[in-house]
Amino acid sequence: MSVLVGTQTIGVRAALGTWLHPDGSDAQRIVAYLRVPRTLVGILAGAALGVAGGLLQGVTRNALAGPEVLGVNAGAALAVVLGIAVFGVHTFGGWVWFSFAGAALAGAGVYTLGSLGRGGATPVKLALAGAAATALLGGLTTALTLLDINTFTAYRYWSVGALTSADAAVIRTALPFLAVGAVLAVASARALDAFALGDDMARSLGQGLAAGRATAALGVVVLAGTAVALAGPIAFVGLTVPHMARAIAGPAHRWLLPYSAVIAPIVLLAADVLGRVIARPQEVQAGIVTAIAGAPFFVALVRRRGLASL
Amino acid sequence: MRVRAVRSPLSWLAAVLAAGLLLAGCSGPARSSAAPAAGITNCGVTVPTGTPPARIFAAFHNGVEAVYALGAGDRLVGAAYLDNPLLPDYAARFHPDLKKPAYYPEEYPSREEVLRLDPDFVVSGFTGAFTAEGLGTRAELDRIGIGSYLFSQYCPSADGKDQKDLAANDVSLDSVYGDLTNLGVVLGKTAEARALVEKMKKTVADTESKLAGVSRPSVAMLNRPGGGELRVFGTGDVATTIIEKAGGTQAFGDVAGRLTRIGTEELIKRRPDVIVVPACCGADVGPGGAQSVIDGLKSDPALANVPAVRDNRVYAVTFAEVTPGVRNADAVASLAKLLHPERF
Repeated sequence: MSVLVGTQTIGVRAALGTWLHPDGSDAQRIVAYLRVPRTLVGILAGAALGVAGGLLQGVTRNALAGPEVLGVNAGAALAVVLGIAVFGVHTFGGWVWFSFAGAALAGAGVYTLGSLGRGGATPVKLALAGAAATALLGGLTTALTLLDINTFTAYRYWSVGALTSADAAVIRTALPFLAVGAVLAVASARALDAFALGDDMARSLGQGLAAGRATAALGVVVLAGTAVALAGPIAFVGLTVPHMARAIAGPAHRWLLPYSAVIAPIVLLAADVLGRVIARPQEVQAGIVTAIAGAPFFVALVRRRGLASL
Repeated sequence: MRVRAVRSPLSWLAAVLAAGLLLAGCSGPARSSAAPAAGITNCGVTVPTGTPPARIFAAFHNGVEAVYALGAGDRLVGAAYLDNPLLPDYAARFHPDLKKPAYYPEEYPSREEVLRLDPDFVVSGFTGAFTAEGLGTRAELDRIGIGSYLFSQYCPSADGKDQKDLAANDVSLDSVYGDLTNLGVVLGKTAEARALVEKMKKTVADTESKLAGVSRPSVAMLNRPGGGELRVFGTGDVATTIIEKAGGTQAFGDVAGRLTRIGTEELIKRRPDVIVVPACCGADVGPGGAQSVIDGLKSDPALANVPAVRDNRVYAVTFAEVTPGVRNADAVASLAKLLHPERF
């Protein structure tokens, strides 16, 4: 779908012709240089956000956790802007590290803040801390970008969340990071299932709590950080997709995470395709579509008590 | 009136500043006693045409150049935001380094900074200046004795609104001529304005006379701020008028408004014969400022079949010449030479 739909609809056979008998036509150029890269970005960034959300919900045992809710995406975005503004970094390979650092610092900060006081890191406290952090980090990012309007016009485009900012070279650079993130996610799946039974039970099952948490958290940072560097801080995919996956596959993480990895790209690409056709000749960025469609889902989620206990 | 107006903090500030100006004895010419009869209407605001302003602040490139072109450059106390280098004649008289006029390279300085310059008139070439976030609405400025003029292609739907709220404006060259004429009247430079408009009309007429019967290539005018999204100039911009007067057809003739974001696919679909990229923004940014965008378009494999890219017809111009102002006639002439070199 993502390869076929756009300003002009391209048939399956015509699209396949791009590789079977290339003729350099506009349609084939659109497929090869525009639609395939943005579809790949959608698949990779979507899967990364979906898995990161699943990991985060598992490690915090919190239905409202997601890289966008806990400030991880906002932290990554601020760090990228700092990288551009202060260090003059302009390549994906450079700003992905800033993205990681920002994601890690923001996530750790929010978790610490949300764990303070009685009751530990309850869902509501974490979500509140995340909202506060997102507002603060977003404000700082806006302030930085307003200081230099020309340099940051491109940033502002990216910051909304678009699948068209990355080209083939950037996608290649992102692949190893995503592979590392996937390995970390797989490695922590068993530990997360044990956590779901409670800390005491997990310990009696012989799971190293600290090691499991650290692996999962690192996975979140790498996956969310790479996704943000690829496509901008896209909202609601990491939060909502794990719940869809849980409805289909049940709560076990060894199933939940792969399902999230499959469903999230479908959701993100559907948003992107919708954005291409609803406002022709303009394109609405995928991040805007997911935000508009995701917000009601988030509200419904909060209102359904059944999901609160993980 | 005053008592009612001072309810908001902003009005308090304005009132205090106005009082301060009066105490300092340097307020503009008092026109409360004179009959407020003569005036021209600009974006729904009446601009008095009695005593010409003596201290002018000009915001945006076309505003600054209009003041110089009308021969009122010596009254310029402040200028903000040049898109490109000034035309040589004006640049020779523009000496912000020697303190006059004060120059602000960002859109415009804070309201306090402008009031410190003590202008009695503000000319803006673009919409954002007369908003609460900018220098204040035109009504607010009027209350503290500062007149204002806004190029009518950028009239907002109501005083105080910004460029997101443009009225349905006339983007013809006649509208530009009307602005220069009106501004000439307000600045006490009626004869200069008449001469300027005559010269512009002659330039356009000379160009059009050479273009009889040409086949019209389709032209897309676009920019790509910061290397990100493509934005095309639509029919709500004088760029469309310039393309048509220069013997082209607007490739995005069905796209209303000034600037519209499009995806690369849309540009491929339109198949423009010529792409024009206006270079912007800065007093040191000449046409070369568009080069990175042009190189990007030419090297994008997805665009290789677009006629403009295939035939190497992607050209740089200055942003200043495609915003309503004194450069528009020359812009028509130079674009015509690019579109129809065989006729010149």
